[in-house]
Amino acid sequence: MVGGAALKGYLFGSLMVVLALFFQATTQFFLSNPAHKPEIVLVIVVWASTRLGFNEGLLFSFSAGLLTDSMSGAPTGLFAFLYCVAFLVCGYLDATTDLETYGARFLVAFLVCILEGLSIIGSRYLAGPFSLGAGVGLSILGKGFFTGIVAVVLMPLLDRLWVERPRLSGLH
Amino acid sequence: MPRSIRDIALIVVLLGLCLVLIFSYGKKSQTGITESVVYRFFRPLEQAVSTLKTSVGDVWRNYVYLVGVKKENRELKEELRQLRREKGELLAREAENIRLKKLLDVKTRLEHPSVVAQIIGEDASGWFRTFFIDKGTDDGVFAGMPVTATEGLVGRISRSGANMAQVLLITDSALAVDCRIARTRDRGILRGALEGGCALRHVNPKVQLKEGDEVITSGLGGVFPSGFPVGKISAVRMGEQGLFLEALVTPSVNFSALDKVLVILSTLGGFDVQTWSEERR
Repeated sequence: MVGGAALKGYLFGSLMVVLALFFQATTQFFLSNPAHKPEIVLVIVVWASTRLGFNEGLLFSFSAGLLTDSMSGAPTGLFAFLYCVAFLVCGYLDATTDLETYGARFLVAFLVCILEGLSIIGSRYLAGPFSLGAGVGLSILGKGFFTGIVAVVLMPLLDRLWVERPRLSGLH
Repeated sequence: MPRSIRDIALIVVLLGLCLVLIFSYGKKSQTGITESVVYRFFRPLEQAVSTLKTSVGDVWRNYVYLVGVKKENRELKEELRQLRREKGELLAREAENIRLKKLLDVKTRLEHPSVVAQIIGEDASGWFRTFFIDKGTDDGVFAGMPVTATEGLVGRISRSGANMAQVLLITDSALAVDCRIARTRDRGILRGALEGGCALRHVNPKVQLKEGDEVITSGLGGVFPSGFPVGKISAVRMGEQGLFLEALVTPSVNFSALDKVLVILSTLGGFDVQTWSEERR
């Protein structure tokens, strides 16, 4: 994918991330406990690793991470780093295995979310120790589970929008 | 340039940039260009959803929730009578308190300039305990300022844009607050516990802590004013090393029901905290 197509892919992903962040920051608290809030942006990054090219996908993951950093309590660069790593890992998995089934999508989103959670909790623990009870593990597992569920529902929807985007935007 | 080398170079540059951003984060208190642009874009959208949420809540409270209001009215009248009695007692205690403070010549500021802010959004990732308010540097709100509610301490401003700011809650492990146990006057450091609520650490093991003991801010550290309610102790246990007590604290503020907060417009060092030894100098 080169030139205009790459830019369109980048812009499409960015638009989805902005919508996801807006949803996560405003209305999602009606639906879920903050501790188990699904990571919709991470699902979009996982989706991008299977659909976008390497350059625009990596740049998109970096931008999505910076946006998430701004809209969360994370130090600037943390989510950008984690999403870039998630993109690379999922891109590698996509190249070596089949990530198109529902089970694979759930499993990848679940595992990447767990790894992300462990990285964040680990970095925060190093910054200032706090009690790590069983609740923390359950919270990460719960978040991973819901993120997996969202991936099963959202990724086909993103595929559909991705295919239909020339018709939706009026550009063929 | 071969594609593989170009790809590796892109990975190294982007991940390196992320690390530089992470490690330079602690040195700045104001928002960067990214945050400013993002806040400017998201603020009206979040404000709109927040207003909609308030309107729906008002309709619910004013019309749907009126079922059984007579009974509630009776109970409230009884509560009002009781509160009036308590108010009389408190006024007498306050007068005594003022007299004692004058006697001790302790300089404390009873009132701080503040601004009311509406909560317009919450942490997008869910890994951190933060929310966004509709006031920023244009309203005099800067990073480091304490945030309170009528029930007690809420947190501290962590980032501030022109017309939107981020509040780090006391339930987040990144925020440490120097506190006292109101009954015993012993000190401890309060931090958010990821399993929920907060944990009061580094408490003298000789202190007899009880469930229900009230925890208040000590005022030491110069960030938070003293005497603000923080929460109540819900469980007590010995710390990991066995040197200090650790207590789980349930915050006074119900964060999920919070819609407006008070930002105290005083930054680090703005509170008049003088220890006994300083007074003697």
